[in-house]
Amino acid sequence: MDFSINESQKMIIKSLQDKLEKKVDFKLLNNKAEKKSHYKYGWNELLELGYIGMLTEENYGGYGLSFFDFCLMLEKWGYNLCEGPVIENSISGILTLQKFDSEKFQTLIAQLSNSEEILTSNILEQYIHKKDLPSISKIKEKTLLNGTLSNVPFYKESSNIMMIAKSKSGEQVVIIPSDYFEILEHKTSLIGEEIYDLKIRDFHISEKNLIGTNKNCNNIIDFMYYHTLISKCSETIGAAEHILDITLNYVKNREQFNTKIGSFQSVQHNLSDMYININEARELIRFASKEIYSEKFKKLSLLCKIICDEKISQVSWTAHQLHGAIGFTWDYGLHLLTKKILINKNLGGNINFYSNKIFQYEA
Amino acid sequence: MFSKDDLLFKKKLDSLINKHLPEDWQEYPDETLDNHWELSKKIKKSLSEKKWIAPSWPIEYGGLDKSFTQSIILSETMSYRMAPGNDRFGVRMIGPTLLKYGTDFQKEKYLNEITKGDAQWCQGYSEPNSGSDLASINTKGKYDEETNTITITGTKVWTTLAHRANRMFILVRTQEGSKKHEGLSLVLLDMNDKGIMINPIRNISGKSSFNEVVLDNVKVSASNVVGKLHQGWMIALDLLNFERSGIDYIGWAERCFDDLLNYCKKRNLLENNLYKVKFALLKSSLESAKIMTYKALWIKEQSNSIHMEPSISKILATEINIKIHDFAFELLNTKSIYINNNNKDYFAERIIKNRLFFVSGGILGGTTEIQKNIIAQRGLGLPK
Repeated sequence: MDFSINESQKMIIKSLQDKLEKKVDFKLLNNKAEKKSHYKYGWNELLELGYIGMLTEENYGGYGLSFFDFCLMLEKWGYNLCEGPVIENSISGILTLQKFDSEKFQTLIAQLSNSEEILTSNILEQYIHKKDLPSISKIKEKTLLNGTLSNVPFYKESSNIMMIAKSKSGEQVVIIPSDYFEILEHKTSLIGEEIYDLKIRDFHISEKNLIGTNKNCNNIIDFMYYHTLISKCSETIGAAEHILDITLNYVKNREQFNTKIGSFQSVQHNLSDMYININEARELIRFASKEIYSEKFKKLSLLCKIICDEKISQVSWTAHQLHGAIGFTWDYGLHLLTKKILINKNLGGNINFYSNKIFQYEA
Repeated sequence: MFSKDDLLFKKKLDSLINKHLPEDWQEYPDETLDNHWELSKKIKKSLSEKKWIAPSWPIEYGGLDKSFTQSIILSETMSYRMAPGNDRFGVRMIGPTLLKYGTDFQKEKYLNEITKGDAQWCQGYSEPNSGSDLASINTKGKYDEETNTITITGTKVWTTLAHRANRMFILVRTQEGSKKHEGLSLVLLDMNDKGIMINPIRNISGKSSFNEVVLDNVKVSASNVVGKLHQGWMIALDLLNFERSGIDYIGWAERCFDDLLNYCKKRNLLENNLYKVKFALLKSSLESAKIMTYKALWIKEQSNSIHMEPSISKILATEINIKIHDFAFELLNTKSIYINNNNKDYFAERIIKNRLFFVSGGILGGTTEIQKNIIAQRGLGLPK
C-alpha cells in the first residue's frame, strides 16, 4: 500500500504548473467562450517539456511513464484549463497502438509522441451510442467505410481519427486520416472548444487502417473507453482543485460584517465539504489509475466516474454559493471551471449507463 | 493494494473467525451481551496465540513486526464479519500512543497485556459539560510530589464498555488553575482501583454500551502518566487521530451493502433500475471512503505530523455506513419497523438496530462538525 508521489512525479507536476499557470487568463478564455478568439494553450507547452510522449515506451523514443503519471499530469492540465488532444492522442493513439498493434504502427507511435502526427477520437461518444457506428461493407471487392461521427473534438488539429466501425463480423477499430472526413456540423462547447460532426463516404479500408483483429476488438474498445474515462476524471479533479483555491482565496479576503467571511463556521464547513469531495474522488481515481492490470479496472473506472460526477459538480455549485454575486458574473471566470466540469460530467455516459455496466460486470 | 502475504493473512484470519462464529452469524457485535463478551474473550485469545491481535507491533510487545496493512485487514475483516473482540481502544488507540510516547515500563506492561488478550480498555475523555469542547474538562488530578501519585476526582461520560474494562486512559486536569488545553495529563488507570463507580446509560437502541464513570479520589502512580505531566493535550489529540480512521465503519458498511445486494438479488428487486442506480452510487462512495481510510492509516504510519486525512476518512466512513443502512431500512419497508417475534428476520432486525446505533458514528471521537472545523482551520488555513 503506497499513496506517495515520488520525486520524478513531483517534478512532472511542478514543471507543468510552472509552465502553464502563466497562460491562465480568464479574460482571454472568456473571449474564446464567446467565440471572439481562439486562445488555447497546453499542447505546445507539453511538447516543449517532452510530455506528449510520456506514455510512449522508451524503444519508440518516449519516457515509458505509467498511466498513473499521466493522470497526475492531467490533474495539472485540468487545473490550468488547457485545451488540446492530449487524452485522445495519448490513450486512443499511443497507448492503444502500443498495446495492441505496436509492430505495425511503430512509425506512427513515434510520430504521435513528438507531434509530427496528431490523433483524435470520440471514443466516449461512440461507446455509448453504438447503434450509430459507421459501417464497413464489401461492395464489388472493395471494403468501404461509410457513416458519421458525432461530437469529435480537435478535428482541425488532428491528422488521424481513431474510431469504431461495425462490420458483418462485428465491431472493428480503424484509424483513418482526417482529410477523408467532411464536416457536417460545427459546434462550440460551453467554453468555446470546437467540436465537429463528421461524415465519411466510401472510404476504401485496407489492412493499414485496421487496429488489432475482430477477435480482440472488444478488448481494444474497452481499453480505450476506460482509460479515457479515468483520464477525463483526472482532468476534472484538476479543475475542481483550481475552484477550491479560488474560493479559499476569496473567503480569506472578502469582508462582510467587518470580518473575513472565511471565519464563519457555515462557510468553513462548506469549504471542508469541497475539500472532502475532491480528496475522496481524487484518491479513488489515482488508485484506479494504478490498477489498470487488475480485473477490477473496468468496474473501478465506472465507480470513479460516478463519484467524480456526483461529488465534483457539488464542489463547483458550492463554490458559486460561497462567492455570492461575484461568482455569478461572466468576468470573474469561475464559470469557466464549472463549465469544464459540466462538460466532462456529460461525456461517456450517465449514472444509468454506468450502473447497468457495473451490474453487467457483477454478473 | 495488498500483497500476497497480506491476502494469505486475511484467508487465515477468516478461518480463525470461522472457528468461533456460527456460519449464519447475523448479529452485530455487542460486548454488553454476556455471550458476545465471552465470545470476544475467546476470539482475542485465539488471535493472541497467533500474535495477530496487533500484527504490526514490535515482536517484543507481542506483535509480528508486520506491515501496517495487516492491521488494516484485521480491523476491516473483524468488522465485516461482525466478530466480537475487535479491540478498538487497546490496539488502535492507547497501543499506538504508548508505542509513540510511552515509557519502557508502560510499553512492557500494557502493550503485552493487550497482545495477550487480557486487557479491555476504555476511554475517559468526555465529561457532562465537556463534549466537543474537550479542552474544557474539569476532572481534577492532584499531584503529590512526595508520594509521586495523582488523586483523580471527577465524572466521565459516554464511556463505552467501562463496565467490561479493566483499564482506562483518562484525560485529567493536573495543573490547578490551568485553562483549556494547558495543564492536562493523559493517565492510565486500573478500573479495579478504589473510588471508581460505573453507572450504565441506555442508548437509543436500548443497549447500555456506554456509561457514566464517577471517580472519587482515585489514587494512581505518576508512573502511569503518558508523556510529561501537564503536557497531555497533544498526546490526547494524537490518540484521537489513531481512532479516527473509520476503518470499522468501512467493514460494517461493506457487510450491510453485500447483504442487502444479496437480499435484492434473491427477490429480483434489481430489475428495478432505480435500485441499480442507488447501489452504484453507494458502491462508488463506499470505495472512495475505503481508499481514504487506507490513506489515513498509511499517512499516520508514514509521519508523526497531524494530517487532515483521518478527519476526512472518519466523516466519509461514518456517512457511507449510515447511507447504506438508510437504503436498507427503506428497502426493507415494514420489515424494519415491525419485529416478527415468532419468525425472526435477523437481517431486518440488525438493520434497524444498527441504523439507530450508528447515530453515534458522527458523534463519538469528535463530531462531524468538529472534523470539518479541523479541516477548515488546520488544513485550509481559515481563521479560528
